[in-house]
Amino acid sequence: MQPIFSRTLTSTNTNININNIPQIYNDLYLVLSVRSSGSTGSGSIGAYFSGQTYPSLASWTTAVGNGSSVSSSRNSAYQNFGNVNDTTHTANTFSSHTIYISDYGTTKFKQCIVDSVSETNATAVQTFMLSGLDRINIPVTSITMDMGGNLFQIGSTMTLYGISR
Amino acid sequence: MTTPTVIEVDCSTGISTERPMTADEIQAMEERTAAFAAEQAEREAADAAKAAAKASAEAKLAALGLTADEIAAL
Repeated sequence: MQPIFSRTLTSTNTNININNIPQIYNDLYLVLSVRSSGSTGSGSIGAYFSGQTYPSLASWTTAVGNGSSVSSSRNSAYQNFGNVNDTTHTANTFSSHTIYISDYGTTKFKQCIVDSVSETNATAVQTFMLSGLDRINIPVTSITMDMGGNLFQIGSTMTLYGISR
Repeated sequence: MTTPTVIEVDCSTGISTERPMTADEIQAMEERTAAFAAEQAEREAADAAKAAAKASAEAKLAALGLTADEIAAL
């Protein structure tokens, strides 16, 4: 596993685009520690591959738990990679998200696994697991991330790894 | 409202640049946000209905004479 790039934000931003991802690995592993400027307590982070936008061609299955209830859902149009910590959560806490993309450089559909948690040492906590198939048949050369119009806060960190096997 | 901005990271050079979002990017982001909100509202409504049905069932079982421990054991 080799780090491709890492960045900690020193200013707030709406979108983050990771471009020119090298095509020399088998898989990609994106690790995020983020906080949003939102105030709903239920904002999400989305990530799109290779220039896709909403609505995407995909198939996502999600399992969500918050300590008292669990639920599951499916969708095929948009990428929701977990709830993010925002201004309603404990100060100075960041939600954690990992996104594993297998065989990202092939022309096969892209299998993804996402783990996410918005733990804040308070009641508003959500754990989130998602598996899905992004039905793009081109290599993943870029990843675009957004928080639904809210801002990535200063201190948010993102690191992209390439994995060879 | 703060002007939406994008950080562009170029993995081949390691250089990051910042620019304003395009109209297309803003529209795509807004559509995704609306879709997520609708799905989340649907999920929360389903959770609330399930919780209400559970509470109702437990009340009916209690009215039949079951203890709280007996109901929890079901």
